[in-house]
Amino acid sequence: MMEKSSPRRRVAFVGMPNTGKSTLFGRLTGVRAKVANWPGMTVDLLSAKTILGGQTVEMVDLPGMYSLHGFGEDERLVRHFLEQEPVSLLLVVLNATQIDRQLPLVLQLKALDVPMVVALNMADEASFLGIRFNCQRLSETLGMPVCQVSAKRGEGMAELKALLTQAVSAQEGRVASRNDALLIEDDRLEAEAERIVAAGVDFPHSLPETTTDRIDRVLLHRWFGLPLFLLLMYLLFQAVYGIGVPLQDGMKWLVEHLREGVLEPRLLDASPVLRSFVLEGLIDGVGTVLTFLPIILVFFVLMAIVEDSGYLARVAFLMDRWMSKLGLDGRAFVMQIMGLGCNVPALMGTRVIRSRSQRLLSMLIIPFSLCSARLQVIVFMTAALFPLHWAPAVMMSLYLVSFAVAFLSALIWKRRYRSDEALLLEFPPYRFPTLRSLFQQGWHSTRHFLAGASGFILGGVLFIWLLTHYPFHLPPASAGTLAGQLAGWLQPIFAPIGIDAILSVALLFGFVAKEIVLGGLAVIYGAGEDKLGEVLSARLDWVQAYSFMFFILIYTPCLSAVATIRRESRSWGFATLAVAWPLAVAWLISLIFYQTARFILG
Amino acid sequence: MTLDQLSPAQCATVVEIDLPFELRERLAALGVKTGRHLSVVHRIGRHGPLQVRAGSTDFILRPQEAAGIRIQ
Repeated sequence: MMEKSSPRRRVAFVGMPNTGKSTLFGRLTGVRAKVANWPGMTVDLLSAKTILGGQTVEMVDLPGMYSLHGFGEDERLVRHFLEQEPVSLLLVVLNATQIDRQLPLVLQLKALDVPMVVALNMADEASFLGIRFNCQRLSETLGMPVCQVSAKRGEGMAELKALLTQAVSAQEGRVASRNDALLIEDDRLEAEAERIVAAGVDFPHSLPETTTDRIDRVLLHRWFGLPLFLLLMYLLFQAVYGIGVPLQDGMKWLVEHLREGVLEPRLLDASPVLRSFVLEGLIDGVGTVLTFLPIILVFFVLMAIVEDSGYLARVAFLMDRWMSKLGLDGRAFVMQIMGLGCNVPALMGTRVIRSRSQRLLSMLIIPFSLCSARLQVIVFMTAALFPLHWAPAVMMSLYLVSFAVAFLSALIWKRRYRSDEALLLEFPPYRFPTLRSLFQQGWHSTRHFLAGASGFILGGVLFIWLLTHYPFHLPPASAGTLAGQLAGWLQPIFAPIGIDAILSVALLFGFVAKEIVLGGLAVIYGAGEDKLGEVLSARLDWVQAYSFMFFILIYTPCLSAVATIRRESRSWGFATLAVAWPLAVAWLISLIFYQTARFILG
Repeated sequence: MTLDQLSPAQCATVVEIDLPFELRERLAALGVKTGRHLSVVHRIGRHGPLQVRAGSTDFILRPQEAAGIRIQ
């Protein structure tokens, strides 16, 4: 915490949700926060230093808030920040198309008596709608500089920077104290805002029918809305695999090259334990995860299109009726869909849900979403063990089971995580992201994913290497190794569901990351990925295979998902439940399936 | 009548909002106040959520909350 008398300059970004604050913040500081055309994306305070007119200024991006006097968590956070931290300037970001309802917030903030600059963002959309601003008039009546910008297109940045520089240097060394901030009654502010808007903004008589309205007439159709959504999702996943898999092959080639061309020759003289540690622990384990990076990157870029487009709010609208029966709302379904790619960003996305219990319930069911890592295992096993014409039906059955388990879990737990949060969600217009923002966002998400997961994955991989290799003189994963002994103890649990000891060792791999299951099986059976299919079909019948796939599908989220659940819920108890519950459900479902099938088939 | 009874494409004026304080605040921030014009843009079934337009702002809410907004 700095001294109150410190001459340091700090600019705080404030505004309502979904006004493009974070995009503008990124433009001015070069620091990217996750942005989406979905209200409430900024949850953490993000700060960055930048140079304005030759002096260092700290910029802080505050979460969106509807009113300075509101009672939401975001509002409290912003108020707390403004009360505790010295701020030399407030940059108020408004959605220019909604200036009539956003201006009261400016007047509330004005009462704090801190220097302010107003940026009318999304000026491009406003001019498209025929809304015209007299910025000079607005500046005079508001008593603060006002300018139009488009953060997305980078328009008006020079003028805004000039205004900020001027406003900040005019306040040399001054730090305002806001402890005596008065709450002026809001009705008076409303009337004042109306007067200011009438004087400085020219609204067209009636807003023209927009492209958004025309698209919505199709996408929100009573009967076709949901089928269209399913079709769009199907196309999205086709595209993820169509673009991602070739890139993944390239990554595999790189990792193999690193192993065979660089590391193996250098480790010829090293001790066998070190050799095995680097090659079978580091490279096989971490390398397998790395080969998934391209798919994750492609998925995040495509998901960024969906998020930026504003379509997710429509999906929430279409599904809300069904989700309300599960104690959730449409937003939870949106997260379930995001989870099909990777559970981790979906878990973080639950931040838009205000009620803690509803948020926890949503986080409890997201891991049942069949993520791309599990899909890989399932696709591989389906191809190896079932006739070709059965494969689509097998895949479909697993998707259905994954959704059924998620919804049943919500039904069971909704009493424990009861919430009566009203659904009140702003409906943004459709927007098309710029190419630049797409790649920045895809890259940002991927880096964030890596930073969050890498420590966990590295540690887990090395731990499993140790389990399967110690004592070092035994063959890897044989009965005498730590993993072999553990599998022996686990046998009473796994035998009733048709999974033999050696397969249960692979499930240990899967706890770290489902991506490792295939590699784990390859190590266990001593077969390369190309021969693994034959080995599996010789050892398993279809009933065992199904039981194994059900178990893989449902049991425990991967370590990075567990880490995210722990971080987001800030509760070890909840993280434990999020591991134990799916484990129990997976075992029960596999048991019922396996025993019934065996009984029927004799 | 109340907002949940309004058919799509119809317009109405808010007469009274009978909802918990916090919800009233959030509605006010979205531009829903006594005297303002509202219209329902889309609606999913009879018990599904409504897409409501207030000025240039669209939002969705459920019929049980819409029932707390009296209109004419």
